Amino acid sequence: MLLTRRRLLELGVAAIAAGSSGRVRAAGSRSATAMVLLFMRGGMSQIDTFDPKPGRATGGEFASIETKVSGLLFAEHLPLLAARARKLTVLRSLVGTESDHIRAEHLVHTGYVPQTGIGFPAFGSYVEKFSDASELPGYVILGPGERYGPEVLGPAYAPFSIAEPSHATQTLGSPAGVLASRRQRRHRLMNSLDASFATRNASPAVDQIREMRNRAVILSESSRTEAFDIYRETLATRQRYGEHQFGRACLLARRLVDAEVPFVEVVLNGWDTHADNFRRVADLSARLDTGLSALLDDLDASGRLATTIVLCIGEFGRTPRINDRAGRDHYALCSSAVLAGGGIASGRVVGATDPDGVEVVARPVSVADLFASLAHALGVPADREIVTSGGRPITVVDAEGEVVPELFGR
Amino acid sequence: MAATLAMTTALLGACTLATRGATVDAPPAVSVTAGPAAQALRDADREVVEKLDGLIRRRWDEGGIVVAPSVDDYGFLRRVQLDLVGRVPSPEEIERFFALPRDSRRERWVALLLNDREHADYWAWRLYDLLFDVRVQEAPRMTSPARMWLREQVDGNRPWDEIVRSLLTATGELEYVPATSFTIAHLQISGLEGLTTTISDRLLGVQLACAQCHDHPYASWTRQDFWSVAAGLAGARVRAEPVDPKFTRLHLEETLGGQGRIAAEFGVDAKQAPAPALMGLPVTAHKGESRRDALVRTMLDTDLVAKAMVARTWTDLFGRGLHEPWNDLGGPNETHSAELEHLAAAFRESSYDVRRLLQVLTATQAYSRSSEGVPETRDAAVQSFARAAVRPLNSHQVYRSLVRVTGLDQVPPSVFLFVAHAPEDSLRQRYERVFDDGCTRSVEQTRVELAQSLAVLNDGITHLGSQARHGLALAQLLEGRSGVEHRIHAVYLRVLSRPPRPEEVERAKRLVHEAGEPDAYEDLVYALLNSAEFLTNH
Repeated sequence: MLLTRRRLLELGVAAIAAGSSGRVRAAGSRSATAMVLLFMRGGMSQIDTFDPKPGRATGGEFASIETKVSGLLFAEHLPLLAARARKLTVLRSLVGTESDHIRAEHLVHTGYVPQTGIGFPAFGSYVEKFSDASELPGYVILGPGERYGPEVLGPAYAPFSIAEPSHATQTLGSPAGVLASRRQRRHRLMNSLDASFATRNASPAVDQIREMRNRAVILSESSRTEAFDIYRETLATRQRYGEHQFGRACLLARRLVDAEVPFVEVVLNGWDTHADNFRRVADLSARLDTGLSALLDDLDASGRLATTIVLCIGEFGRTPRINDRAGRDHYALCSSAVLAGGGIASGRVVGATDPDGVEVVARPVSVADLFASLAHALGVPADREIVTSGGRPITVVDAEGEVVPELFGR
Repeated sequence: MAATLAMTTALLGACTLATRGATVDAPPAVSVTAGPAAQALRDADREVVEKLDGLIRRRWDEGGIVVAPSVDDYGFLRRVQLDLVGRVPSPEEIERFFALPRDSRRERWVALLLNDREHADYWAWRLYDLLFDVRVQEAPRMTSPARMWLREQVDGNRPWDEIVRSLLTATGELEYVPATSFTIAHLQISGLEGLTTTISDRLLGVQLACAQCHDHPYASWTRQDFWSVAAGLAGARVRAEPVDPKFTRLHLEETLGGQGRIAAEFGVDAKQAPAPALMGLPVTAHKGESRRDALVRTMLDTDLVAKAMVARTWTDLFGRGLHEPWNDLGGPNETHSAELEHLAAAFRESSYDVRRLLQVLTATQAYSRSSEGVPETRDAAVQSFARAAVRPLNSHQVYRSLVRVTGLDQVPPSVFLFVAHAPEDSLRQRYERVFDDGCTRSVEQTRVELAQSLAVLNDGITHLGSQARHGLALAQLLEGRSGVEHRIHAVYLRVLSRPPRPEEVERAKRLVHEAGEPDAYEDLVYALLNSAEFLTNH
């Protein structure tokens, strides 16, 4: 009864769209086999985190602190990351085009600005597709928010989302008291019910429900779901990551990377600080500081950091101007991102903004450039053509994007 | 079919289930059995339906579309229950439906449902989903007053234009004037841009959001258009009044300021900021009107508010829009403009009466199409509403249907807690979290998630709800009947809202032979709850 995912795919479940005949191992050389995306949902204030402007009117309330990299300053609420700056590359010249949440979120999850009638697959779905197969889901989202999906790649690459990491195992195992033989009988019954329903009601919805239920059954019967259980960690470890949802999610992300899940997104929500920016950013920074630092430490200690890219990014930056509610508004012109691991350079700053943080003055990098660089590192074929559900061909990464060599190398 | 029906009625006669606990507090006048309160389709609306049927049929004829036959009464009842009250029918409701005269039962049932408080509750949730996207719903303190308020508005069938006017112009303290919730929540959580985007996206049905920072790629919206709407809203201010360290009172006030915020976007000073306008129509406040009053008046002078509501409601009921997506009016995929114009005009003519709109939509030929058909002609038929789309249930429908079918909505809260291992609220929220459906999607964007399948497969409701345990629905159902076939029949009717086909009876009998009673029935209920047929509207 136990089907591996690959066998399921081979069985040709009707749901699987053309062009998604199983995961494809990445070709050529690659420096990373996994990626953790820390998504700063709402738009992270770059000036109050990784691109401080001390002494300027736009600099706001926070002091800046020195980091382990000489000359590199962070805002004051990131002391643990400052101590780990030699593991990081700070990208200060990210230039966006969108300052609406939905459009900008779409951009940083798919690499494309949304267009009516075209379903752009999420980067996580691509990474899963070009990774080795496993019975665990290959694209996991931890935290609230929009779940960008596989679109034409097919439901096999749909994200598995978990809103609260401490409840992750709640629905992962079959409830006690139902014997395996009985579960199998039930699964057979479900399949036969659905097969006859599908002959009369063929539709994407039925295909997807059947595909997802088969995946759910495989996962429920798997012995590897303990990867989702953060309570297998010691109390001290859990505390090190921070006793908040983001910290728990970072810990779960590390366990999933250890279990060779190729793409994990962790959402830190609340960065949309139109009002009361400084109190809120101080609090959010503290969470980011503990969660990301512990993640880096553990990945480094196990040796997995060398093959795992960690990217921390919001959908856009925030205005240098401070509004009359002590807030900062949406700002696409420049924002910061932080990268580490997986062949990314370390202890480096790429790009710069002017003294007030209004404009990028050195090495502008677009989201497409960033995606080209990530695809390069992960062995995702950026120029592969995909025909979207609307019939329009697109490349995996926007052809405008170019690899940013400064992000790599020593 | 006649024999099947007779058997259904006989079986239902033996049913001993109590009526639903939730309607106990409702006066008898609004319960489903009360006929007189429900208004049947008016003559004027019948004309609207006929004209609409004509428009759609012409497309079928011209396109050579293979039109699916009419859905049978069981299928219609299940579909309309899911669409209007957000759950599948109970066996008692099926019985009452079939007791109505054959030629008018569909229309009459719709009228009854629209008068039911369950409709007000479900439809208020759908409006809440429309008005507050997931991001904003994460601040329930600011949005839940709106949900309670919406339920009252739907229950009183308040016209949609008046609801929109209240939501956009209310002032006062959040707890005392719940209609302020819409503006307060959006301003606090997503700012003036977020408020402007939500109004254009959800209430006007136009994609103005991308004109926020650059001119729209195909429609004629410009940055100026976006910020001119924002200018009409810019006088709204949220004043926070700290009461104690844990509680801050929120007041929504209308001020004369706000131009500076708009001017800053254009790098000009306040006097040169764009004046309030709606897609080129000037928004000028009359004496005694605020800027927001004037903006809403101008919105309602156009047909955009009516079109957006019609387009969204259509998509909700049909699983596919008259254009795609429903909130991209003026976009590249306008396929059924004549139908939209016609329905929007009728909706305005009816003074924005949403119940009448729902009566019209559910009375159309298109709404009654079967979802069954051969795959080859499927897409074209679904796209032209000649065949019903099969679409996954939304979170409310899944949760409400599951607790109804398993009988968990009929047990006291203390027993619910014991059986489901979670209070009702938290269980409902768990389903809401995994079945995220803030926006109304078309079937082409169907997205079933692994977390959803896992929830139904392994969560407490399906497991405990499928046990033949004393006090729960399955045990009662089995106790009330003797004979394998009767029991199989009752299980199908309860879970799938239809009698089993002969081959399904045979398969279930084999299961009973293999697994024995009551295990076989437990397995059957569990498998049916996880089936694609149960988890879709079709």
